[in-house]
Amino acid sequence: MSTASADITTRLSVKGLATCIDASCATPAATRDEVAGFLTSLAGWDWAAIMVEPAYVGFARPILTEMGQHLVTVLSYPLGAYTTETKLIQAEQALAEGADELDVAMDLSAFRSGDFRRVVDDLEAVRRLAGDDHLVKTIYFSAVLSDVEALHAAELSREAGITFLKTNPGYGNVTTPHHIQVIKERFGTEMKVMASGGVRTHADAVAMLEAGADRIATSSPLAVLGVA
Amino acid sequence: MTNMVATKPTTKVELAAYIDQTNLGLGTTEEEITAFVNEAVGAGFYAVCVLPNMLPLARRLTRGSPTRVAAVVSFPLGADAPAVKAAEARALADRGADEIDMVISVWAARQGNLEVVSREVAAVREMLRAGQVLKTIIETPLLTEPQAVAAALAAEASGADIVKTSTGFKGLKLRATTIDDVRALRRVLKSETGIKASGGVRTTEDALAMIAAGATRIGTSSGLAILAGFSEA
Repeated sequence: MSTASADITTRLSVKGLATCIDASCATPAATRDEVAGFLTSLAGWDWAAIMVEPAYVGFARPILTEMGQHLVTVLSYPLGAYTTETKLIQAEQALAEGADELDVAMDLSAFRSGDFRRVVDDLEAVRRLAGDDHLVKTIYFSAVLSDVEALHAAELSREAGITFLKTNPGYGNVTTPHHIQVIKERFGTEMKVMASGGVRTHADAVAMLEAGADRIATSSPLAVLGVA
Repeated sequence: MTNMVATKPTTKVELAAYIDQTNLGLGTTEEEITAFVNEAVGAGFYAVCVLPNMLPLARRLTRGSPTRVAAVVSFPLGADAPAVKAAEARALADRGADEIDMVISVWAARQGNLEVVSREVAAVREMLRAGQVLKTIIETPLLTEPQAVAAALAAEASGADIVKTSTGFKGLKLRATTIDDVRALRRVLKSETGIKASGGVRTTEDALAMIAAGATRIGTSSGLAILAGFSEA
């Protein structure tokens, strides 16, 4: 417990907090100038990663390399409804253009229709393509699942070889600290969780970390740090 | 193939022929899509519009009916490379989509980089067979009128059959499509290029106003209510 408290104290320092954040560029249809403006506004902090949509990976890569930051992008986003073959092409292209991490949205329709084989196969295909050098996270849509469903989704993600969850894609899907606790109580350190969707303020972020979140994703990272 | 219906609908059957009945909801189940497609076929809508993972099911359910099946590409953000959009279009064309509704690179339209729009529309067009209809969603609510017009012209020149106004994606909290959006497109597009008014078109009055402004197709999840509210002349 004392280690955990020491850990959370470190993570709540401004510098420590940044290392728990995926700073997400979520301006709709952002122009390159807007993307570049967002990226450069993040200079001076070490972030867990910086998220840009797939079309911007090639553009953002040299800027983030210069800044010494990790780049994450999203697949089948935000509705989780792309075909598997297209997800793989998205992934291949993103990795070729220099993405470090991939956040892939689970096929929620297959999940809710009880086609669990398809959910696993789809995620596993991305996991294999990414190989060991690239972190993959599963976006599992906690905002629209019951606790039992959330735990089942987490099991399926683990079966596919992905042990890092991202709660939601944002776009109106809001994460609560309870969503994090549900996963953490069952899986502990075996499953990492990133709280994503509706995390806008420093207080939101603290509540997520206290609930056990390993990372936070937010489109207002500087406000979350309290330096905006 | 772009159902060039220039006249005003006078019967429910004629009105239904303008409508792409749409279900692009997050995590819709197979059971929900089955009910949705069966209902749409029964009502005689021109087409159903679904997400890629629901296309095979919608295709099976519409077999033997005149209802066409449309599936979306790069929905709803449009933030994919041309090669990715082309790959998704090919996957959907191979699975029997009659129509593809692709979201353009809205970011490129905003920054005036129409070369990207031309390239991706041409790349998707190339994946389709003769008779497969290509609609390009330009996301008018995020564009100025000159940007929308320029994007629509670039799409038309690169092989779009129909220009569609908006994704109507709830997560972006977009304004509804207006008759002015449709009029602006009608003024500049060739008469054989269709216009699909979509995004916030919910009532019979909305639908008829869009058609009067020049829309040849209506994209809506409220097709049944629109038909129910129509009184035949």
